[in-house]
Amino acid sequence: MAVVPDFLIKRVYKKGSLREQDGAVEFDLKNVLGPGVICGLEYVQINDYKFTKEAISFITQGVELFANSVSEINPIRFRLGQEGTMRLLEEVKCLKNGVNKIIIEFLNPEAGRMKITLEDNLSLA
Amino acid sequence: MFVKDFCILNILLHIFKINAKMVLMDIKFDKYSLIINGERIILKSGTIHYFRLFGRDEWYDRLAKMKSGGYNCVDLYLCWSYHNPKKDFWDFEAYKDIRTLFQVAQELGLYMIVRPGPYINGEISAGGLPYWLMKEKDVVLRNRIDGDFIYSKPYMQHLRDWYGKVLPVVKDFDNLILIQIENEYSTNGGENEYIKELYEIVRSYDIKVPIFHNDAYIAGLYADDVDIYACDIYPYINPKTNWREETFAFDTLDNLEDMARSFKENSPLFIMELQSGWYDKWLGFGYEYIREDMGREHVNIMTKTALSQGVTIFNHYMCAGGTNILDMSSDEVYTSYDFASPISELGIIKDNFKKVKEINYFLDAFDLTMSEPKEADFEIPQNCYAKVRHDIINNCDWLFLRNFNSCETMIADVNIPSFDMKILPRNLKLKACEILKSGVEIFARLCGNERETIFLMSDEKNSITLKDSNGEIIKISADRADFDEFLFKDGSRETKLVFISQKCSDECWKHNNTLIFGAKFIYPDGKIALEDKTQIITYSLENGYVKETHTPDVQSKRIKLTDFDVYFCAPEIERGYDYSCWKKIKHNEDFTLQDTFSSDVYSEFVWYKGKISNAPREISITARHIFAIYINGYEILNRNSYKHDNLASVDEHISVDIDPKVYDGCENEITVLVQNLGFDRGFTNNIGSPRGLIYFKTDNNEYIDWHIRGRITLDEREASDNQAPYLACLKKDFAIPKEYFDKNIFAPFVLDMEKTPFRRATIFLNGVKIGRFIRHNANQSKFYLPKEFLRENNEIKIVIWEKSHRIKGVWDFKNYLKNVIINVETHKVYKLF
Repeated sequence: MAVVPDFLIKRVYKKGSLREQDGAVEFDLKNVLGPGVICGLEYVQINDYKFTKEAISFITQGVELFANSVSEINPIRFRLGQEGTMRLLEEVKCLKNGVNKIIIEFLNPEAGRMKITLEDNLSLA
Repeated sequence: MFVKDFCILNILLHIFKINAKMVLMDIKFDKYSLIINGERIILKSGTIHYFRLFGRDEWYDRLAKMKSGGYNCVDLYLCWSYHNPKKDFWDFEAYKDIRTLFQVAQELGLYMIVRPGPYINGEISAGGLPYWLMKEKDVVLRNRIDGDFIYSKPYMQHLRDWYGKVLPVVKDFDNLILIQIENEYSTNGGENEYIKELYEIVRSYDIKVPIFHNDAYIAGLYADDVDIYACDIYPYINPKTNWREETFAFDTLDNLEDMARSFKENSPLFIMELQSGWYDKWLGFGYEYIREDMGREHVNIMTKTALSQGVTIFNHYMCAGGTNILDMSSDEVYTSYDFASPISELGIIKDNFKKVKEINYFLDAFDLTMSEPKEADFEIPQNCYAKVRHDIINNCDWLFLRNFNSCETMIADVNIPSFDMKILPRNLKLKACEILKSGVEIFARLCGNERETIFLMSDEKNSITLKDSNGEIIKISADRADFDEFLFKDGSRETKLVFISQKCSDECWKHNNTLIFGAKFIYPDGKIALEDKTQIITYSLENGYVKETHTPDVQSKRIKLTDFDVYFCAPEIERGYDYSCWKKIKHNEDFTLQDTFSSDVYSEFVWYKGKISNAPREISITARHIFAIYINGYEILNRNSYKHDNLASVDEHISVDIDPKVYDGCENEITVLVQNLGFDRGFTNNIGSPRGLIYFKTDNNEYIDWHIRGRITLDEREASDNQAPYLACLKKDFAIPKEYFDKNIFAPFVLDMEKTPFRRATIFLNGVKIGRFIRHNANQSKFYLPKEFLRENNEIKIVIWEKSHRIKGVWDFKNYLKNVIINVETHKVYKLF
């Protein structure tokens, strides 16, 4: 069970931000909840496609952090009000028209493994 | 006729009294503060857990210290499971008597915030929900499963029974100021039916004070369903990290005003749990470490930052530590619940209390209940925080300056030491002068009609600038010796400024309109506590300084316990022990066991017994949390399986070989004893995950006809020399000299297990389980002997459960135990004058 209720944690996702850009899939997050620490980015799943650590990066405050370098020693400190872009670096056609399902699994040093399930509606040209 | 009239008179008096209370406690609020009987107040509250402090004397001591330290309110969780351990059995007697507790608060003039749950968290087993509730038909605890809202009528009915027991008592007290429903509650969908129903239940008892919920997520949860919005703020939750570097953890507190105003515009800013300590866990760092790590800086920064955000209701969680006796604690925490709080588990005033006292006395000096944020007219250096608030009542500004650099830093021309925070006045008019700007903080103010004395904290690197009644500007360096003073006059009006050092202020106490210097603590009745010969200085506007020397005549005490009576206990281990009356439980097809709830077993210790063939050569087992397996009385394995990670206990699944020599024929007896360390507290995990034996499988897949019984008896067991007895009881009588029970002596006693060779022990004082010693798991070897259970003549029983490979037989074991040395000693001794 997540430490933070689903409906709250979903607020960190910026609706309508899911997109394909420069051969990657991207979406944006904004921490509107409170200061948080992420000590592991395990995977991101878009619809049926799972992006593993090697293909995930997080750009925040002008710095690109690669998921396989995020650890308890080198965590992401996600401040209140801070924004970031999740980049999924594989050329896969995983986005679809209509509702897209996004799952992010990450680690928090206190709460352990956490999973956020999100949805975003797209109208692809 | 007379009797009848007398009765009517009594009834009328009673009605009048109740009505008078209602009139007396007219509680209103607006966006700034609570308004009680027309007067605004800052509510300076602190939490105590009465279920971790025992009886009137201890309640009085902790609450009296709070009152003397400038708190005006106490927060009290009411713990359902403590009073209702069995279905339909309620216990509000002796040290569980909440009416007496409330009376103590009332007598001391403390307001009360009451939080009857039903869920309280508090690192209490099952978060304070009674165990029996878990097996009730159709009960869904807190109306949620895995975060999803599922309304349960039977649960609500039980909850109404609980509220029905406590709310009528709560209602009788005119010092009740706020009441909380549920605690840190949320559901995945944010449904509010449950909170709304709780609100209605409380109102149905004609309780008129504002109702709130405590939002752990600071997300505005249920803000529209209660009167006042309140939240938790805990920037320090991981002692592994350095809070002085992880400053981002203060983000929420630093932005609270904007956030909370967006949730509820017209209620005062209220932090229900403002961190003033933190709990240590099994396998943790120890309270000494946490206390040192947080220092006095943490609570200083927390409280002053809260005030800088316009908070006018704060509650330090915790204000006084306590002790987990009986089976109260959740599986995360050990016996001491010191919490590194301002008042320690043993009732000792700590450094963080002294800092809180400073802040509380300052808040008594000037009314800060109505203020608005104002643009800072100075630069804010990196890693620093600054707020300016305009004080509408005193028509001045207050600067809140914080330095998170590892070196001292100038902010607004004030030198702020590293990790310090100051509240400083600007353009503050006093009776005979005006503070234009100040780099020094105000400690306290004594005020008469025409005269006042303001005590300031001396500070070698800062100064204070004043304007006297002639308009002359005077700058005074704050690098001053204790009691250096400056007098200002304006006609018959007089303002005296007196400087005191940090050290001097630490042992300074405000009592009515006097300051008492040199005391370890005082009680609100004016009694002064001293440890050594001390010169006490009392300052008042009328008499100035009056000196008096006192010499305590009570010494510290150590009682050496050795030459114990040792007997082997737990006859349940023996082959042939009659367990026919124990409950039968099912060994499921997947080798899990029927849970303990369905057998009404909720004890810390749980026994399992059954028959086993001589075929198994290996056992695979999972048990929560510490266990031993015996076959025909021979120990096969004794294992501490406790592991707690990521806010939940983690199961260990292990296998052990069986030496065939333990078998005696084809029908043998197996016994498993499991010690569980409590249930989950239920903050993030489901509460009802069972304890005891969870999984048991032999290599030949044998199903065992298990029988179960809770609790460890202290029954004697015959010793035989063919096997080592692994459970034994050490028994000793000891006396505490009468003088230590004198009402003018404060002398908490501890039992020191440090020098014992044991790994695990359970401690009983006069029949009450007061501690669990597990050397590997906890940084605790000294156990508080609560005054409530301590007598002049005492019996201590210590149950040892372990196996040492150095011990070959019973007599070795007996000698090993008999000659241990355990000290009972005073931790501190104070005499009250």
